[in-house]
Amino acid sequence: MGHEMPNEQQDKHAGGQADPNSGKPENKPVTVIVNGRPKQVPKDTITFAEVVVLAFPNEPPNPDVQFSVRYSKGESGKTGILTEGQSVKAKEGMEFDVTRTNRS
Amino acid sequence: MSLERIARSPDLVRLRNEGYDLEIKEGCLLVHDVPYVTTGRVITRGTWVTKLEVQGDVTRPPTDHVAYWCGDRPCHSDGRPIHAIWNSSNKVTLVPGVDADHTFSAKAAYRDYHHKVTAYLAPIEGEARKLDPTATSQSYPPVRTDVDESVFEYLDSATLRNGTGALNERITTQRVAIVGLGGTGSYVLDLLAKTPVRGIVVIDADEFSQHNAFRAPGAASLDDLQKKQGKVEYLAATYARMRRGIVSYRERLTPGNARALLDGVSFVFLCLDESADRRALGAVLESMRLSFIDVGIGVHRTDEGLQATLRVTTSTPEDRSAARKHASSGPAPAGDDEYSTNVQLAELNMMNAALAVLRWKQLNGFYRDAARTNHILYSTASNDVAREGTE
Repeated sequence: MGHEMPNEQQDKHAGGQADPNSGKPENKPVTVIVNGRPKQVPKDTITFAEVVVLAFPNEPPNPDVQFSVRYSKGESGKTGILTEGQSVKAKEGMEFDVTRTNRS
Repeated sequence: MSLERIARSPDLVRLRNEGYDLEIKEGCLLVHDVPYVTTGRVITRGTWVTKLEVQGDVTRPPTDHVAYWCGDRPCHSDGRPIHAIWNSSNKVTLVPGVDADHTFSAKAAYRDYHHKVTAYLAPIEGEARKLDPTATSQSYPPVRTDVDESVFEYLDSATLRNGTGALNERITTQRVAIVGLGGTGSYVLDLLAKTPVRGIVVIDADEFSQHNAFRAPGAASLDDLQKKQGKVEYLAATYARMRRGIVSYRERLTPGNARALLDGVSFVFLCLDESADRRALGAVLESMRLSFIDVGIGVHRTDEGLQATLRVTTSTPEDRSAARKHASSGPAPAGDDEYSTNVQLAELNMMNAALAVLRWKQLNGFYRDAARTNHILYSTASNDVAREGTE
């Protein structure tokens, strides 16, 4: 943020220059829980596909197999379902369940 | 007069609800298992009989005060025959099939048959109770039903007591199918068997093995397991003890045999395993204009224990969208996520089955449906139900 002037106040927006996630609060990542495991995601909307990748990082997409994706503790404490193409706002502590609900 | 028609006469209903062992035969009311004292001062059981005066199928206040008795002369506790109610001791045939040993006469203006029964029985039972205070004719016997009266082998007294009979109206005309009698399907059968649905078709090709016993209702014996029966055989026989109309097919449902196996069925519960092609089966059921509910469980391991999601997806001719959107057409890939698991647990199967049966009952007007959602996901970790597409 430039050189300090000895007689001027410190820049109120102090923060490191190199870290892209710091500085403004809305850029800080949030931790969401995906299938019981914590994951860091940008504090932004997150899509169905992104959630599935977080849960199953090693698996290629397969159109024959359906994932059931639901969340709770979302914005305003909301519980809901995500389907393909949809997205939801990520919130700190939000819970995602990502499963193949195909057993009986 | 059939047992269902007893329900139209409040005095008979009251007697049955008070636990009297009633039988209606050829226009006579018989009360069985009435304790009385013999001349030898021993307590024995007899049957008290009255003719029923009816208008149509409903009882009228009795004008005839006479009653009849099958057994020896009822006595006081000291062995002296009770004289006050007794009239004669000639064998009488009231109607073909109903014979009596004694005739009683206790003249009074009986308000109804509850009054007549209790007024007559009081002195008889009262003497027996002097010798044994627990002697009573109010034994609450299980009531057997006839084939044309009920789908159940014995009276559904729970429904009669709680008055939900009218809510069952749409259910009693249906024939439903359960495809897959694994953990979830067997619990669906357990619940459906206790509803007055007209018929239940169960379809499953597999054997009922030891591990299945831990995800099925009730408790299989070692004997049961050693018989190596099919799941449909073992479970259909178990529930046939309670109700009629269970038909079983030891086969796998396919698009090819669906029309034959589901003939006459109006609703299907798909309780399939992970290898099933739900899309193909869904398409066939749609072409047959059937409504169906598809269920499924997924379980993961986490560092803090297991986590499960239970799904209930509904498909009706009015709305096929949820089932089409969420149906899988094959098994998951072999190299599955290391945290996935094929663990299945009875409580998860039971809960998934209960949610499915509740949904079916909502579609049939038994439970109110405010959410109107055809796709729900219950999570054990969050302990709540996520709904899709609520109005």
